Amino acid sequence: MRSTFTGIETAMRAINAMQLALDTTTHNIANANTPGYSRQRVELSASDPYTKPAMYRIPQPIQIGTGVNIDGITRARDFFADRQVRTASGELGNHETAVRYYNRIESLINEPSPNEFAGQLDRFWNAWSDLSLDPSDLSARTVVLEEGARIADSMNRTMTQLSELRTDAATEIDFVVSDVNDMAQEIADLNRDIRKLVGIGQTPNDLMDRRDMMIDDLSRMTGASATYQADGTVDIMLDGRALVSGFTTDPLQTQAAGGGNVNIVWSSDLAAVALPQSELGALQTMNNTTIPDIQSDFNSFFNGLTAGVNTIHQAGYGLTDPAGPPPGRDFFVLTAGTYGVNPALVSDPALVGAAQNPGQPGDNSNALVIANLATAKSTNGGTTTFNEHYGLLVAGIGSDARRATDAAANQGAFVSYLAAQRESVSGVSLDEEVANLVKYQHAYEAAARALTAADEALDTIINRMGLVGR
Amino acid sequence: MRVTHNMIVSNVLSNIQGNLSRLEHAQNQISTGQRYSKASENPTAVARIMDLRSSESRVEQYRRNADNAVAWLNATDAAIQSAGDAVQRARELAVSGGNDVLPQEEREAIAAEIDQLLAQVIDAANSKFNGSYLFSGRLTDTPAYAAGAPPTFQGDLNGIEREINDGVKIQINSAGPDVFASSMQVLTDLANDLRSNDGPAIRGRIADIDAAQDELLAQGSIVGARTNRIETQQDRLEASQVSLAHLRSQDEEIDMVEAIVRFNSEETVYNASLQAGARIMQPSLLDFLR
Repeated sequence: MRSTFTGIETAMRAINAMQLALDTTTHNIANANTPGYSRQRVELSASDPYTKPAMYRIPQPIQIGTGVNIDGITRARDFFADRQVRTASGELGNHETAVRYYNRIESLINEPSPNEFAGQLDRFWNAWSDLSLDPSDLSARTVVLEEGARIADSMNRTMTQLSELRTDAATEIDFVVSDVNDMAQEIADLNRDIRKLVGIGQTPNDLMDRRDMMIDDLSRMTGASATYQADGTVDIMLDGRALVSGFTTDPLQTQAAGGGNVNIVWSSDLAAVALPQSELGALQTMNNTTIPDIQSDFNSFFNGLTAGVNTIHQAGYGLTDPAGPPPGRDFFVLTAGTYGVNPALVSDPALVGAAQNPGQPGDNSNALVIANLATAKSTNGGTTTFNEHYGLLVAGIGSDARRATDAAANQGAFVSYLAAQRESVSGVSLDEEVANLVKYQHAYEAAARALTAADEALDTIINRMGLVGR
Repeated sequence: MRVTHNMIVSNVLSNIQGNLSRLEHAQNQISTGQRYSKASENPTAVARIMDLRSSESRVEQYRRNADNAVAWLNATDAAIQSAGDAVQRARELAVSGGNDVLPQEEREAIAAEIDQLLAQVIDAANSKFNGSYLFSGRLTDTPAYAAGAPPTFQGDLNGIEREINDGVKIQINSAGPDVFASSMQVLTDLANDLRSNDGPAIRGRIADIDAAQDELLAQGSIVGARTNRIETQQDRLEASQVSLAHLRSQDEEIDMVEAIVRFNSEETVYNASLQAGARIMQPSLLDFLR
């Protein structure tokens, strides 16, 4: 025989459940715009009916339902989508970081602009050609020196900005590594909290969301992947080793390798980490390979250019040079890593070697030879002119930059697609929540009305029965 | 697929962003008139633009060199003309001075005029262009001839060249002795003959004067040939400057009409995406409940 108060009990559980569902819906609405939040659902099931069959229980002809059970609150999460997004976003981080640096390299080169290095080089050759028109003219000599100084300034600026860029990359590596370690530590701490709560049978949805978001960031930054354990903890794997294992972390650290290169190593045994495609990986490639390669290309081009001019200039005579072997003056000098025009020439432009013979003020033959460098295939193993060589350097950087930009755009589209897939599962839909709100509110009201009905029924029994003839 | 408001918002935002960035690019092209602002937009075209620009600047320089060479040659021609005039006048004087009826004093007077003509030839030989002596070889700061009987050459015999196209160098100076040696010699001799009152010798000088005139003419025609050659190159340079500029503008500059049409269409797309976004982002179920 069931209890008189069954109806009250059932209605009360329904009210509880609906209240919880309403609260959860409100929680979803409140977090509709919270990054990394996954929508939560109250899992309900019908509670065990009365009576339940058992060995010594007298079977009843009917079974009556006892109401609703709250099984728990779960979050909507697609772990497969998570893994896809994370793998893809590591690659995206890689390309985007490369694009960021290529943009800076391109803006420091700033071609095609008529006033940048290629144009200056043209004007330098033209200045020599102008000097050949009147080699005894001191103002034409001064122009040659000024154009030379402008080229030297540009070469210095390019080299300085490239090395600044490399320093920036190294600094950024330090920042990212320290961020990664902080996040790894936080994930380990969350692992501990989550493990405790899971241990007492709870589902800490919001903590898990926070941890998942951090794993997203970590995989974009390092390309790390996550392995979910049965006890609720997550291991973070990077290059086959655990960055986070349970409650402990093995932090990364940077290690200066020779020539400005930076290695990223495990703190525990200083073994090198081979980073997959990721922000950190891209930064390391920039710092250790891309920028040094560009630096060395420019450096050898600039050295070839200055050496080419110097070799010819050394054979030249200034206006005031006496007979005898040529004075062998350099036009460009490199002092302490800085290009400049030979100060001896600047203080006495008459010494500019426009002539190939001493004592002939009208001899323009050496100026002509230098002006001819504009068209002489004298660099790149005699296959290109200096201008063409520079154009090739610029075009090479341009096509690398373009490849990175295209890759970033493609990968970006792919990541948005995957993220939309994931959002489709985990995202909060306000329409849905409002509909649920209406649904649960009605259910709540109905349950309350059922309670009232039970109450009135009891009232009938308790207060009005057995009063006949009173 | 289940669609949430956040998906719509982020889709709308990223589409609007993309449209706006294309609109900005179109606007940038119009306002700069340039097709590319970075090498990565089209590495090959940018390398080509740099190449063409450098060729253009070189052609401009060659034209400047050619103009300078023509001016030098014109000055040379004028000097030779002036020497030619002097020698022509000397021939007339030699003819009249050769007449034996002339008294000694007359011949002395003629000799004095010949001295003046010699001075005119020396002046011509010492002509300057832009501060440089034309006929002194590479000793451009030294007068070609010092007065004397005959005058002495003080320059050298080295050539001065101008580069007027890739690999095309042309000598612009004429060596003083090639041009003036005979003229000066014959004028000096004639003056001497007149002063020594030697009729047959004076008449004999006429042939020498003719030879000297021929030499001046020959040198003048060398100058003319050089001028012609440079002028041919100038035409060629002008033509290639035009075609280089045309080629470069094809690569470098936008077609305004096309760019404006594209700008308008990007603008339409951008506006449409804003409107569509505004309409899809606004409503939710809440707007329709009670």
